[in-house]
Amino acid sequence: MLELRTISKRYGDVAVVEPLDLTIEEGEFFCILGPSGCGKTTLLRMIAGFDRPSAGQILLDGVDITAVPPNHRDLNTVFQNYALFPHYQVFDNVAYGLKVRKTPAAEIHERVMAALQLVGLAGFEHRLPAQLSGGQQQRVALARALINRPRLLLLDEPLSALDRKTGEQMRTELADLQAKSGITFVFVTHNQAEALSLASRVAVMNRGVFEQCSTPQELYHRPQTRFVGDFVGSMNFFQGVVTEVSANRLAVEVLGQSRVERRGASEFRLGEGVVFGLRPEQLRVSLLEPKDYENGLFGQIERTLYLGEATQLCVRLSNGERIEVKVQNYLMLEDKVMGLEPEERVWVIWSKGSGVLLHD
Amino acid sequence: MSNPLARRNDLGLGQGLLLKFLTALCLVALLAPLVVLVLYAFNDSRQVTVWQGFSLKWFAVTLQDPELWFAFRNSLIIGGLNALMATVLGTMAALAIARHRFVGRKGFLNLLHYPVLLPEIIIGIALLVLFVLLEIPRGFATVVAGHVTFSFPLVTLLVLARVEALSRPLEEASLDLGASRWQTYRFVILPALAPAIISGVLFCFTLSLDDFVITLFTASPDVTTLPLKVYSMVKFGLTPVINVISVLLILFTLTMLLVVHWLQQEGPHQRWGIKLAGVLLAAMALLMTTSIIAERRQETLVIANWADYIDPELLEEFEATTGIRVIMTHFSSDEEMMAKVSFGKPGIDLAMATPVSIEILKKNGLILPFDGERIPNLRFIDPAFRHLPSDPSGRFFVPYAYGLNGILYNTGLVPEPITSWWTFWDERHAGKVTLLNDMMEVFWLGHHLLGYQLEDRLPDQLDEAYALLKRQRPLLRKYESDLVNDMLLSQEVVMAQQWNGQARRLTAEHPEFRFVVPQEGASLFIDSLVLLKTAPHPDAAHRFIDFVLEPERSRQNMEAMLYPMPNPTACALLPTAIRDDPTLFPPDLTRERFNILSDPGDFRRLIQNRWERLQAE
Repeated sequence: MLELRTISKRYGDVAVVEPLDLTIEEGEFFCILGPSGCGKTTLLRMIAGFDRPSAGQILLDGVDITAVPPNHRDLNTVFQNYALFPHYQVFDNVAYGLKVRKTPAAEIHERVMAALQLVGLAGFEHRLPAQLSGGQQQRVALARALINRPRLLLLDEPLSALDRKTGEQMRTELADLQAKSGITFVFVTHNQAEALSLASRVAVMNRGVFEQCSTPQELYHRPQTRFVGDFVGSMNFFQGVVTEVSANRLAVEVLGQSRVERRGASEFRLGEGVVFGLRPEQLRVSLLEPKDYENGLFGQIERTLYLGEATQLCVRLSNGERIEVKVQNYLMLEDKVMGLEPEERVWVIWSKGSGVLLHD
Repeated sequence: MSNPLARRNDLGLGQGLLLKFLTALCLVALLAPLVVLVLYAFNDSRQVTVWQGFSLKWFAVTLQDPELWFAFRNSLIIGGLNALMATVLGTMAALAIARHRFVGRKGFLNLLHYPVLLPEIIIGIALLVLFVLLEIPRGFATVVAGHVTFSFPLVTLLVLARVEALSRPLEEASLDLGASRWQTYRFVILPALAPAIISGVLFCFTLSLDDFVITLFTASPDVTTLPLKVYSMVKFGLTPVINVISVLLILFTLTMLLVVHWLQQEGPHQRWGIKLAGVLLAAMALLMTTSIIAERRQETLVIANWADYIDPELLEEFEATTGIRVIMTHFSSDEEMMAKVSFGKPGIDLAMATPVSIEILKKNGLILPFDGERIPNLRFIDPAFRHLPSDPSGRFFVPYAYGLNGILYNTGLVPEPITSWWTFWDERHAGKVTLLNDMMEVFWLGHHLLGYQLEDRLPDQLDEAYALLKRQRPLLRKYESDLVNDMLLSQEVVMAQQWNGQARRLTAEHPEFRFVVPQEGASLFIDSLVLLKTAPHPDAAHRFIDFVLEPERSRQNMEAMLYPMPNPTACALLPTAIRDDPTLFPPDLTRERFNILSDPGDFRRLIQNRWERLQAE
């Protein structure tokens, strides 16, 4: 439905978006995830028509819209700070798109009321934006965009200005809204939790390129680059060399001394340099040595960080590298196998089935 | 023992008191002059500084003065047009600067500050010079152009601040929702700028309404604005009318402020309120513009004259019989008149000139000879007044009135009869006397008392005269021409050099004052009408002169003004009380006792130098 062909954006010598291709299907909830400055907003602005790409094409339903001005593109945008018209009441804000298209007043009224109903703001027609909470403003912005029944809805960091609780609530509502309306959403965010929970597909963007474009599950469990692994959730990385390869097993020497294993087939060759990635929640600490179906590295607890549902430990390995471990607190409180005192010497243990291997 | 909370409270209270005191002080300093001004608008007395009881009569006087209404209407039109044009231009400039990149943008932005930083008088002179160079006649257009020049940059700066604060996403949101560029301007940008634009309109309107300096340089007499009118009124004495005008202006401005404040409040009334205000403004501007255009069709005549120097009834009669509207512009010194008529096309037909001025105007080719055949009533003029050394043919001027200055004093405070100019050197009246604020008259007096002639132009004699006047300077309250009668009435001074016509006005109402022509003699002035080369209505000018010279009308004029005219037929018609008054018609007008001043030429610079030193004392 939306197709980007080798689209890129340069400002002078600086490439903000490197040439990239992307196809988004009808009805998708597509998310572009990346840190600030990665080019994701520029990409969105090019789709919306506010910025012209330096090269490449944008196709909507097979029609090249690269040179079409924003007011003639069949898509709408929800802006980061909502960009509600401060001098218009809620009703007029929502009605704006219909008004400029000279829709009959009766139809405007009907559709605005329906749109406000949809976002749960019935009865707020006569408020001014300044008299609404952040979440309510967000809903007005959504209603204002959706009332035009666009082919595509672009959302630029729509939840980042809300407090956490409201943001999480709006997440659910967004998902519902998308399901109900059936409109294709393209959602830009730097918040990986939003991306993972909302999107049908996520593109992780870094320095103007797509690092990986896949479902949230795949993104989390099979990051294809070190950046993706670290940005989506967090990850411990070890440099290593493949020392043994067989049909369903691989051994890697990490930290120059320890040998760890990974079950399953792989494309790595003997002697190849790799990066071994482990998520903190895949690890546990123990005073006992690992079993033979487990890998283990020995170290000393450097500090602990209480997070509520979990505790994050920083363990310094014998060669000085640090590894983050996240332990669910209920586990600890139940078996009380060990207290988590700093200075304690422990094993960091994980299953031989866990961890990702990336090319170095 | 110390409760920190209580102590902080004490401190807070102390600061609060100090703050309240300072605030009150500021308010008093701000409002006290206004309160006095407003109070005295309700004063029964003619004197601005003496309270005599509550009265609304000055409101009636003010509201019935057609000249004030005329000036007020002019101010409204100029203010309205300026507000309209400056706001549109200023807003467009602000949008251009904020939203577009063009060559010279930075420079333009910097230039915008110049009207704010430059002294107004420089802008005024620059505009005047420009209009003179381009040979644009002064009038409504030049005033509005002048006002727009200095007020549109202020709108730009005002709106620019708002545009820059206006978040760009608002415009993008509008485009995104399908609005065209024009719709975006109309529905998003302009409404968001509305408060700044409304402030701009108000600002420009008020600036226009207040402006004096630039208007002075760019206006022609027929577009006198309220400030110009008030200024010319103040020059000829403070009356409660000025207080009343101030009160009305304060009310007017206050109402406007309240309306604008109300319009700026967010709310449902705002949209139709702004629309209504816009429609009203536009209608008013249209109405007034058309009325001006209609008025332009009517023939007019513009005369630069001393204030109160013609009977207003005579003017009304002239307007009624000829259909020509007469517009008077007043000046308070010969120099001011010369400045008024000397540059470009001031839009003036006739000017009242002294022999000195006639000489200069003629030398510079600024006046034209009259066509005697079109003024049959010239035959009534006393032949003795028809010739001047600088114009023996007598074609360049028509003598209008003459007079002299002598001593006007309060007999209640100066019991012994005054007979001599030397009384001004009498230490008993130290600080209680004024001489005219007129260089030539004062130095004529200095020379005359020493037995010299000013027209001999001898520097040694000038220095002697200067020494004499300098000796008198410490005894003098000040050199004053305009407020002489007021100062005498309020007993600020007891004795003054004054023109006989002005003196007669005071003595007629207040018998305790007496006017004498000193035994040493006096300087005689003759005021004549001259026809300016740039006169837009020379025909009307000729008709007017013939009209006023008619003996019966001259008599009426003399009775109203109490200045003698060189029209023997008319004088014969005067009531004897006036005809035989030696204050008005001094018995023996001999060359020895009464001098007519002539142009001192280059010698003027030397006199000027001494004059400035005298004034600086």
